[in-house]
Amino acid sequence: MRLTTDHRDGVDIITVDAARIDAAVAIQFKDRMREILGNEKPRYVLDLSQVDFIDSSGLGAIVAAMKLMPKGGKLELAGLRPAVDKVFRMTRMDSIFAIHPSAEAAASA
Amino acid sequence: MQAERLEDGAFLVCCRMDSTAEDVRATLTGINELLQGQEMAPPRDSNWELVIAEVLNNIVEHAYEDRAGGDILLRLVFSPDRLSVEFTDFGQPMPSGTPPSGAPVDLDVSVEELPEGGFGWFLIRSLSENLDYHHDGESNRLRLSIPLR
Repeated sequence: MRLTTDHRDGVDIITVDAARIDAAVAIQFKDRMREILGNEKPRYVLDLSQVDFIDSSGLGAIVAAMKLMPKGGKLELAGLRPAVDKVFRMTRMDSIFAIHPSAEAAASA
Repeated sequence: MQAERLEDGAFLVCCRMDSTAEDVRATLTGINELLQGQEMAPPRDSNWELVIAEVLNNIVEHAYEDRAGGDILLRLVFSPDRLSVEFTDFGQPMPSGTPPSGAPVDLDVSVEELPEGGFGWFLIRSLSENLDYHHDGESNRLRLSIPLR
């Protein structure tokens, strides 16, 4: 599971370079997010535009990552593909995260 | 993994996998590859793969208690309007003899208390129909169907 970080237009963007966040990689994803979020920037945007499948383990791992943010910090999401977006909407997790159409849109928000 | 076209035009896929998250992933990826270019391939927005993944993850985690070396059999029949699925495993039965009701999680809590799991059966029940579970002493068999259009 590869995550890359980039600082664009004043925002710290974490890109998931993988097509799936599922039970097979949920722990790796959480561990890698813990490393990145340890830098304690106030706002991160998780770019999911390459992810076309997420299961409940993957969803749980993203929630777990959000809880690693320091108090007042924000983990936002961007670029949800339809199948991923549907999982967030069905579980109502779309009400917990700020969700942007793309990382670029998140940068200008 | 075996696939064949049935007389009525439906597409049958049968697979056997080991009780690990890695093998579940490999199986789902393999099914997707088989379906490429098939006219019976379901639309992506039916979320059929999510239902299968959640049931298989539950079998790995609960029936086999996260231990590798357990057999899981999967039989899928893709029809134009629905996908019928049968899962068989030889692990622990469902604790109460029936699958969980799949209540939605409570999000009206502080960030620290937000749930990181417990979504699986809610998603399975929301996206499937005709769920039937049977334990016969040696095996667990779960059948369900997923409307595709």
